[in-house]
Amino acid sequence: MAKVTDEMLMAYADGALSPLARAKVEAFLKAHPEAGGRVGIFRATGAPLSTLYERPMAEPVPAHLRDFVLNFQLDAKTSKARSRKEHLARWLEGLEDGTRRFTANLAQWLEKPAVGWQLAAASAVCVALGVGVSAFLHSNSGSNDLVAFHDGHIYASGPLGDVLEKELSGREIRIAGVRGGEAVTMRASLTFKSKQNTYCREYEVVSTSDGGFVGLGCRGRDGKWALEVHLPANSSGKGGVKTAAAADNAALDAIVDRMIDGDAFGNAQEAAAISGGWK
Amino acid sequence: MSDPRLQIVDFLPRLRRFSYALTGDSDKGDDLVQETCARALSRINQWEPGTRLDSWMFRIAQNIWLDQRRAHKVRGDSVDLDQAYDIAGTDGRELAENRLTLQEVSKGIAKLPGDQQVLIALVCVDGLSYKEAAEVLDIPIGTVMSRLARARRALFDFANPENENAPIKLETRRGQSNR
Repeated sequence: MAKVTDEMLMAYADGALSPLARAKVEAFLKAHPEAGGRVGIFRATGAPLSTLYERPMAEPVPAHLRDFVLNFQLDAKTSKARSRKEHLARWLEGLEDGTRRFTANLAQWLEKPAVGWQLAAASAVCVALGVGVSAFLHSNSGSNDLVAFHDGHIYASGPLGDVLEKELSGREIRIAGVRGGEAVTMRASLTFKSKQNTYCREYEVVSTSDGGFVGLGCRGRDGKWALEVHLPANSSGKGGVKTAAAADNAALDAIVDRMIDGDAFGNAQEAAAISGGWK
Repeated sequence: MSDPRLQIVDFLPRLRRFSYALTGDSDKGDDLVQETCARALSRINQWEPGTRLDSWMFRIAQNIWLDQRRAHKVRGDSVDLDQAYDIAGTDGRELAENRLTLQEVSKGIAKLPGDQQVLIALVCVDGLSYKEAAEVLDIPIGTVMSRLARARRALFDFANPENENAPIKLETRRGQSNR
């Protein structure tokens, strides 16, 4: 009969042997009863130990340990990077399911604009305009050509910021070379005051390959336009180029309806707001 | 969302049990838990989400524990058990009443070298398989098994009152186990 080692006896005592190996050991033990003592030693020093030390499993964790862990300040860069990746992943999932699901979630997003959502909006802008989502994700607080990310919010910057700050609704600005020479056009399409007493403007962005996006930015006291909403536009028209038309987009209309205080600005009111620096 | 702090809090009971077994004292055990958590949280980027958090944290706890033991080494506390030995007075039959008490086991574990303490804590106390323990410690499974078998024989010997003062006998095995 082949040698049966202590390791095998231990594994036998621990119940870690295959049926075949177990049978072999049992046969050995029958032939060599004096080895039973060794099995007993392994049994005594095996599973019973977890019962002996079970107290920490049975009692609540001491508060000082729980608090220590929960209050530990994770490196901000790390936790932001993690949360960015997770939020973006979730948003991208939603995007693949189509605009309908997007629309259904908008109402709750409006109530509580979450960092992750605003982040997702910025990512969408980046994706649409080919500005390199991965580059965006890797900067902690950085900016690219069209959006800037600070303190968990996304703001329009660059040409998009300029459009919202200075251009009358309907005036198109064209940017060439955003992604390998491809041109992108953008314009503000509506201005109003929100119930929170902030100036808000609808905007549209059109790229020939990615279709259109519509969105909403609101101006904070610091003069920055925070992107609150960003949606793929309903494609209208057939063939080749997809165009965005904010007027067609029922989801955005619904949001505006909830936010608006009074009526949308007419031309004169808009011009006055722009020249007055949005006071 | 998978805040690592929440995952660590869920793991605390097991970590406390592991540390209690290693240190033999629940206060010292909780100190080890806190140090482990501090180190883990300060280098949480090194942990890949989706991989086993328990293995990663046991590894950290083990490193801290072994460093502490090296720093506080008291001569004569632990015995070099690399040599094989036989257990004096062991009855050939499997003893029905082989149960050890917490105090006995604690005393026994305290006399083992650090790496054997860790193995006993991982496999016998926490209940990891030999394979899981091998992954935590990054050693071959064969090494786990032979080291663990040696550790448990020694533990039993140290834990058993009548063997407390018995000299360690060095006997060659007769084909029953590997060194």
